[in-house]
Amino acid sequence: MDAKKKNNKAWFLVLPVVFVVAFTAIIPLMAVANYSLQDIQGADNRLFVGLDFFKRVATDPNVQDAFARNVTLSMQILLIQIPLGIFLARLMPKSGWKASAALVVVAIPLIIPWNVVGTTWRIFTRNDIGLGGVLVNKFTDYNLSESTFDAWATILVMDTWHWTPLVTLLVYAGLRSIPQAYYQAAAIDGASALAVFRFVELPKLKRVLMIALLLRFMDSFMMYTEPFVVTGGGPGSSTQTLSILLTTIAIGQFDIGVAGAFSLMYFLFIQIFSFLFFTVLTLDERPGATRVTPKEKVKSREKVEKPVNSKLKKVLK
Amino acid sequence: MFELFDWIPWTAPIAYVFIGVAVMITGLTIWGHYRPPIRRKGFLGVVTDRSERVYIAIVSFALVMVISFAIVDSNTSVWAISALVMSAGILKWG
Amino acid sequence: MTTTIATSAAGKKTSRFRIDLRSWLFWLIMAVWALPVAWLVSMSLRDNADILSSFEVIPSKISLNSYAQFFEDPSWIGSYMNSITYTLLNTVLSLLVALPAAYAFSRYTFSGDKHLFFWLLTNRMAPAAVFLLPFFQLYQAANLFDTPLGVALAHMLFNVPLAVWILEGFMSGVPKQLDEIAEVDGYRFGRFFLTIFIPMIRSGIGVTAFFLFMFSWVELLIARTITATQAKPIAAQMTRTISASGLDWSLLSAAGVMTIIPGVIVIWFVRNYIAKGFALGRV
Repeated sequence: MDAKKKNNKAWFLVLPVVFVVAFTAIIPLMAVANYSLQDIQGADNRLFVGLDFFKRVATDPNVQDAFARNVTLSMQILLIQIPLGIFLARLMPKSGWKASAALVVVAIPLIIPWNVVGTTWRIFTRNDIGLGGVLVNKFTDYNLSESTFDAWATILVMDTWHWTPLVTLLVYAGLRSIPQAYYQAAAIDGASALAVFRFVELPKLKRVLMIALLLRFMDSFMMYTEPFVVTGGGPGSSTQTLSILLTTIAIGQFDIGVAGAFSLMYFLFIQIFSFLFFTVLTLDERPGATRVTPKEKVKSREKVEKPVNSKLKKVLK
Repeated sequence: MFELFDWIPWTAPIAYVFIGVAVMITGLTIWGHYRPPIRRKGFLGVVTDRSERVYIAIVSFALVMVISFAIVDSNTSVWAISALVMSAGILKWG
Repeated sequence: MTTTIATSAAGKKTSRFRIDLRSWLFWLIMAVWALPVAWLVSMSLRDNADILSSFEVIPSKISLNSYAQFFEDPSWIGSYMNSITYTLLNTVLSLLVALPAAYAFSRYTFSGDKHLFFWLLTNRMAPAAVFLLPFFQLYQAANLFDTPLGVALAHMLFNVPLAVWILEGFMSGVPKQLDEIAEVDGYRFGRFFLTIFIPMIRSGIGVTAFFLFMFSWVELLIARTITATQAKPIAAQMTRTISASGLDWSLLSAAGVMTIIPGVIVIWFVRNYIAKGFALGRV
């Protein structure tokens, strides 16, 4: 594929997107930043407090606990969902109407509104009227409004139910892009199923798995609706995620300054993760992987002209 | 157009920050137009260009500041100066 | 030579048997996976009093009362229609602004293009909770509070970046020579874009529309924050019922089932493209 043309008029095509996203992202961010520096009592009663709110939020044990809890939850989610997703994707039918049907069935949890996922599991896990709750109660005491462990496990199972399909679909798509010849070659060599997975499939899935990993991490790091509907963050604050805590502070207590400082720090972490995500995705299209000494600078300037996206496109084809 | 901004309870520092960011982005764009950035690999271990290093420097600065906030009774100005030095290092050798 | 053929034939036989077993295991897991939704459907088909009085795995008395109530009560059917309105509005608007932008990203390089792309991506990742408070005030200042257009605009925060991302992938698959030939043939850009280019990537547009619909449809936090009564989404109606005392589980389940239906319909239309869209890794 030939190189892309340099043309700054392309900015006109991008302008509508820039305006829309600026309206929905930058203006709110400006407001949040301003909230974070002042104690707002009323329209005309504002007190500049500098970085006090930042310090208060960063040293608040509730926030620190929620942060640690959220990281733990995300890690557990990744440990369960990535292997399970790969397992399911390898089981999925590969062709014919069965493949279509399987795709639709697998994708269904993804298109259910998040609060309905919560409602569904709230009903399903109830001790009196829910199939799941009644069944589990036959074997062991199960009460998610009293037991911390039960609540946590329910959130974990629910999230696995909700989001493993995303991993499955990603991996399934990745698997289908592996040429049949690879499998035939492996069969001739007499490779075991495990060896086929390790040496044929896994290398090809690396990129897709990286995407799944980062998407699942980011989304679980800002999870709000499902645990809010099922447990409300309880019992106590045992299932309170960062987003639930932030929403409580912002909307519930209307503590604007604290919420603003909280938001900015939260946003910073998201920025860092996004940058890692972006860097990992574009890693193999970053040319000139050697350290540049001043003498070589002229050379590397030529490298800039290379189409940076060509490799990505090869992958996409 | 104006009423989209004037509901915000503006404070001077934040206004300066946003103006600064806007000026910086414009400056980098113009600079990049006349002198295309050199992509190189520094101690960060990833190939980056000029604006990416600026971004990494700013984000790292903010991260260090947040960590300092989490430490009770930390001296903000001492931390800010060390974070600035670190950011400058990233800009130069990152 | 002959031994190779023999072993490969034997291998085929065992693998066919194994595939069958695997397929059975897959559908078994899917059956377990379907249980919570199946339970929701079963709850929606029984009266609330019936649900509370006896625990039945297979419902003995089927009643459609809850669905009737759902369609008769304006606060339910009304909020349902609100959700559909802003979701469709969001899908159309997002596509309209994202199509030219994705074309620009796939065809040209321009000053700051990669950084712009990254900035868009960060908005896909930004937690909704961060934007709640300012959204409330911003949409009031812009006179968009409690309107479907307001929610559609707010959801563009994460949907426009997504649309640009997916569409750029599809557009990059169309050879650039096509643009050049059209230019030589004397097509103006607008006409080329609308009559030749867009029809060529219609499957990509279909996939994008699916994801836009899906992410707008499932979102609750933002939609709930910037609406009150006029544009209240069905999701908010459901959570408001939850906080009230004396829950009508049957009605709640019926509403839940109703919210699953549009997604299933859309998914059925794009089933062959979903895997492809996900394969682009751009969700």
